[in-house]
Amino acid sequence: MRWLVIKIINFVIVLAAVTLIVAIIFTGPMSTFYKSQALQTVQMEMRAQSHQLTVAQNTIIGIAKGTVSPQDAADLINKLYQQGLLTKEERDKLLSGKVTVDEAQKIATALPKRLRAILTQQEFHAYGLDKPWYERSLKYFWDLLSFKSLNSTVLTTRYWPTQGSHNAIDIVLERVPFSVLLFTTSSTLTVLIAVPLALWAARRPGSWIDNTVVAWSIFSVSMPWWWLAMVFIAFFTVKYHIFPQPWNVNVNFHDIKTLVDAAALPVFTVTILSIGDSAFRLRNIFLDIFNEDFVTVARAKGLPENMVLRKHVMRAAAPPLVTIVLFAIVLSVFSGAIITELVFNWPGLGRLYWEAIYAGDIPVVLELTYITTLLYLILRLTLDILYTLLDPRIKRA
Amino acid sequence: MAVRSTAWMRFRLRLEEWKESFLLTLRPWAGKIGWALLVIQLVLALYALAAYYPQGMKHYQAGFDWFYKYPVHVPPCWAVKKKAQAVRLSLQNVKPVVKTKTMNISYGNIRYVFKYYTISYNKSFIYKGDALPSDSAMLLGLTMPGGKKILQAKIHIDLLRPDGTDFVFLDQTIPVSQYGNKSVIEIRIGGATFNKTLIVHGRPVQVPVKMPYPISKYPIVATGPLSLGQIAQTLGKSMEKVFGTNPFKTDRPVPAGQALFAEVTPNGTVVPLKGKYTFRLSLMYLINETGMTPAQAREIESRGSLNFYFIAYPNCYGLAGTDTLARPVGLGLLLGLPYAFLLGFLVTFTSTFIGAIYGSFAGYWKDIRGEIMMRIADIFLSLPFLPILIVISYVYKVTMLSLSGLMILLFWAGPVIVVRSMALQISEQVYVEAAKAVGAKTSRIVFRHVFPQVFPYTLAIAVLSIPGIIVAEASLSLLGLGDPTAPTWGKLLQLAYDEHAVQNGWWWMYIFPGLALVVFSATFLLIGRAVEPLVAPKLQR
Amino acid sequence: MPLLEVTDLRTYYYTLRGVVRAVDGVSFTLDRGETLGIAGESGCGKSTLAWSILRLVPPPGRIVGGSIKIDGMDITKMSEAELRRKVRWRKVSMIFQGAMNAFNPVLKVGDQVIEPLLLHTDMTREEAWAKAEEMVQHVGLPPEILERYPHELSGGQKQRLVIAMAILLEPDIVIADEPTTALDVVIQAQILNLMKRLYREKKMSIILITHDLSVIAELAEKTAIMYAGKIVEYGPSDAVFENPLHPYTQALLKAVPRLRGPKERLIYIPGSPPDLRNPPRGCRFYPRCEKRFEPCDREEPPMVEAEKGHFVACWLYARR
Repeated sequence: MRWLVIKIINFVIVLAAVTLIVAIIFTGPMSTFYKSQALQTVQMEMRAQSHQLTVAQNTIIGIAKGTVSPQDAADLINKLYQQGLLTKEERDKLLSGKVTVDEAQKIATALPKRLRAILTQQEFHAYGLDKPWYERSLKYFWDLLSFKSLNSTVLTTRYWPTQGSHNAIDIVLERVPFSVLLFTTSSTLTVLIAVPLALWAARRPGSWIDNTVVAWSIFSVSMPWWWLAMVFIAFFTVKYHIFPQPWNVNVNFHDIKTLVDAAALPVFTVTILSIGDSAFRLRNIFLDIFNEDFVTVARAKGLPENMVLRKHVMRAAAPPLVTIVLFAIVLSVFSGAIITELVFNWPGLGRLYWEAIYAGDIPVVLELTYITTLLYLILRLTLDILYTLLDPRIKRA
Repeated sequence: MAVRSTAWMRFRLRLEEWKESFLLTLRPWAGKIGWALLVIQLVLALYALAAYYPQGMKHYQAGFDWFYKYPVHVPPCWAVKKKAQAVRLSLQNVKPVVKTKTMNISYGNIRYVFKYYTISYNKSFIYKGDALPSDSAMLLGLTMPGGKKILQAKIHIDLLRPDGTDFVFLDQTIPVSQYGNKSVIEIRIGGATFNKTLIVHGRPVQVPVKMPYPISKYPIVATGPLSLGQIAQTLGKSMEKVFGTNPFKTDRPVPAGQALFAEVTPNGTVVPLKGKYTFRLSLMYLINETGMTPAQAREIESRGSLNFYFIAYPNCYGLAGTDTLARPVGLGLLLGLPYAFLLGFLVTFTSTFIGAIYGSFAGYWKDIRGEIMMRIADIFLSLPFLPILIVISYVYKVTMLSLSGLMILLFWAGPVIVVRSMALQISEQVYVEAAKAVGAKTSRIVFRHVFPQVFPYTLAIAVLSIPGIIVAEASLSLLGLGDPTAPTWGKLLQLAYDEHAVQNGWWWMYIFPGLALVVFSATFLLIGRAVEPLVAPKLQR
Repeated sequence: MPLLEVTDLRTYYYTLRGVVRAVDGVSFTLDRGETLGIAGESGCGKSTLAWSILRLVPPPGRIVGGSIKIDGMDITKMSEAELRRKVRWRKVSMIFQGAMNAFNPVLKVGDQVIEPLLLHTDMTREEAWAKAEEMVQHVGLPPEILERYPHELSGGQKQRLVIAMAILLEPDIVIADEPTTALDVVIQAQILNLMKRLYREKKMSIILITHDLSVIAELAEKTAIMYAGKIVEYGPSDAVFENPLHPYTQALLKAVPRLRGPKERLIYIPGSPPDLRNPPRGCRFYPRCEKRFEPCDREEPPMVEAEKGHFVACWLYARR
């Protein structure tokens, strides 16, 4: 099991590195975001303390005018001094009562500014904004790793865990099932279709089916998936009303029928596209395997053709098959396919990117990046382990 | 050995090799098509650069004056069966007819002289189009004498149609300025552009109106002496008489800009009305000429004039139509080409170069240094490419160049694993051992022996990654990120998405940019597929 | 009746660039317990001939003419299922060229070795395994080796396993296609000795296909020399090696270094084998032949019996 431990350690290192990179990228925007939050808090504090401030101002001017005796105000003055709102000289002057009205006026008008400055400093300290950027980066890094909750500015959750929650992590997690549903369904379909298709093509290299697979692989790789999605939407929902129009559907898990209806076209599109690449790669693998000697040996032994396929070809193709099909999907999800959700109005992670970017919601963008990265790395780790289990040639030491 | 091969001879040999391998890639059909497409696209890209860089490109992305030249979101002409006729009219060669009517009124012993001065223009044209125009626009330049002597002014514009009906645009008095009054009014009839607010990228943008057109020497003022609302009201009323509905008020089965040329058949279909149309424009003012000399009077009278321009936009444009900003989509495809090449070539070549050097060293050093290098490359390989790209271009403003830099940063590790395994084998070869034995420096060995062997192969493989790069840029653009000044294909697609081209059936707005992407990417995939078998044998054990 | 009778066998590959006549009119017979060596340059159709006998020609290849009779049954006319049940591995087994890749890398070798037993006999898995262990020991390997994966074995071990697998069902004919090519000399010798021993013990007929004439000289009783899809000389090994008749055989033998005997210059054959898509008219060796004369480039030479049991296809010996 040492190999597993090594892989997991590797995973942790990569996760830490990627998280650090994300944290560093976001240090600037997050600081701006926290700054605005801090200033809001300061504003609220100022409002809360405005009455006390007025009392203090009146007292100070009262001392100068002689309407308040310094002895009576001593407690207040000392308190203000302790808060840092008065200098030592000013306190002494006020306590002794030898203060002119002008001077008192000046002190009184300076009080709100001083209070604001002190509060701001306190708040900035609380948010860690007074630290150098690298320390802030490290703090954000740690916040991300420990899933510290972060409030969004604009976006809210739709249904889960409650409607209208501002927790950025919840906002992101709420979308995960939708993306998972879309892409697991289509990847399952992809495997189910691409494997027989690839076998078929590999059995007859140069035939029309083989040429179709090769040509479609070129097309499916060279177009943005969301573009084909647009074309399909125009064709299947606008021109012919085969599927519901995405912009008229509100997808959620409470209404399964709508969900299935709305998922049909996205699943269809993503499947067709991912088949292109997967089938081509699988075809190449199968072609290689068909040319391997052990297949001929198996046939020479008198094995029936379906047994040759099942026992020898498929088993030998299993490790690369798993990695290629799944990794193609993993990669495509994180390099463009996820944008398909936007076009399909499918409330998954891809659409959330667009929503968060248009809303300018920095915390959501941050959490979204982090969580998609995490998912991506977990998938990679799973694939890696699966491959190692399937292929005896990989050293498990 | 006395003969030492010079650098030139080596270069000649190399060149000969390259020529041979190039000819070999031409053999399969994939290679033929790929190279042909590449050459065509390169020529087009160079043409685009020569003709449109940089002003044309900026203008394409940021210009708001496309409306004056092109119709808004019309399909390509080959897709339209019934074509409308484009109409462009001006009063440049039209002789005005001047009528005057003098009234002498005596009041006591003072004799007042009032003069009705009418200047009128008639301009006819024949409409022969088989379809309705996509929209119409009218520009009206109005010059009037001002001052206290002008008592009243009136303008009348109407369109007399072949069937005898009459659409009145304006028939009303206009306020008289105390001073000389000059103004130009643009009237765009129907469509989304009736007022001067455009919907650009989902946000309303006030259009800085400039006149690229030789219609008038005057600047257009948004609110002249005549309000656009009045025009809509007048025209709407006269259209209501003809069609039974007011196109400005209802949901507009036919937009008002088209309704000018429309006729409703008894069975309810709307067809173009062919025949002779006449614009009748007249400007009338009442002058108090009391006490003026004839010369003075003539001077005041001659100050008034009308300048008029009418456009009926065709219902199709070119080979690829126009988008919602009235930009020709075909031009956009052409202008996007150099950017695709820039991004694809720069990112691929640079990242392959870096990756090949890095991998060569990592393979040459078999100790802890190589191990650490591979760890670092591993981290870069595990980065989720698109999210990181989205995030960085969201947080920081990117240009085309910095975007390329970013992609290089994310892509350079791509070839490292393959290169390393090749370098591992190469560095076990005898000549590398020999070079080591004579005390050659590491960098020299790597750059002379290892790198030149791995680079061509990795380059051929890297060509296959160009589609991914271009598609990634398009995806970024769709999210509204990326260089805002560069007219890439992704930007065209973004506009199509933002303007709901799919819902509205404006297929040419997204089909063509997407096809351009497909053709561009497929070019490199085809070339890559043709080159791969040539370079691959070197990798085999 | 001979055990194997190949008559005028033609196997062509239908590629996009033309028809490759890899085996073009080959006839020979093999008796029970006899060893036939087939030699020739690489690409002359030796392996295709071997595959044809099992009817396993890889696509786009096809047997287009002639007959292959094993025990009187014409396998070119058999159904696929019958062929599988009756012929493959039962009657004819094969030791493949490049034993390195004869095993599926993701399955244990044992599972692959017992496959024919499970398929052609009623044995349970345990019985089959026991039998396989016995056979493995017979070829000089420890029985535990069956539990291993192919990548854990050396080339020699794999080759021995392949041989064990080939003789597992004690077939009538074993076709050995380049059994020693990929091995180093010491292992080659071991394998050859092993094959000699097995051949003696089991009384099987062997068709030995190789480009290495010394291997044939070592093992085979009869020798056939192939050139460009045809057998050009065929006869008892002694006769072929001592008294080569065909100019090609003579040239081939001159190209082999000898340890004993007078030192001779090694002579290589000028030119290269013909393109089998478009073979020369007449004798196929004619463009490279030193002794070519008038009829060679026009008519194909017939197979004539120059000595008793020693056949040659050359105009030098044919009566016209």
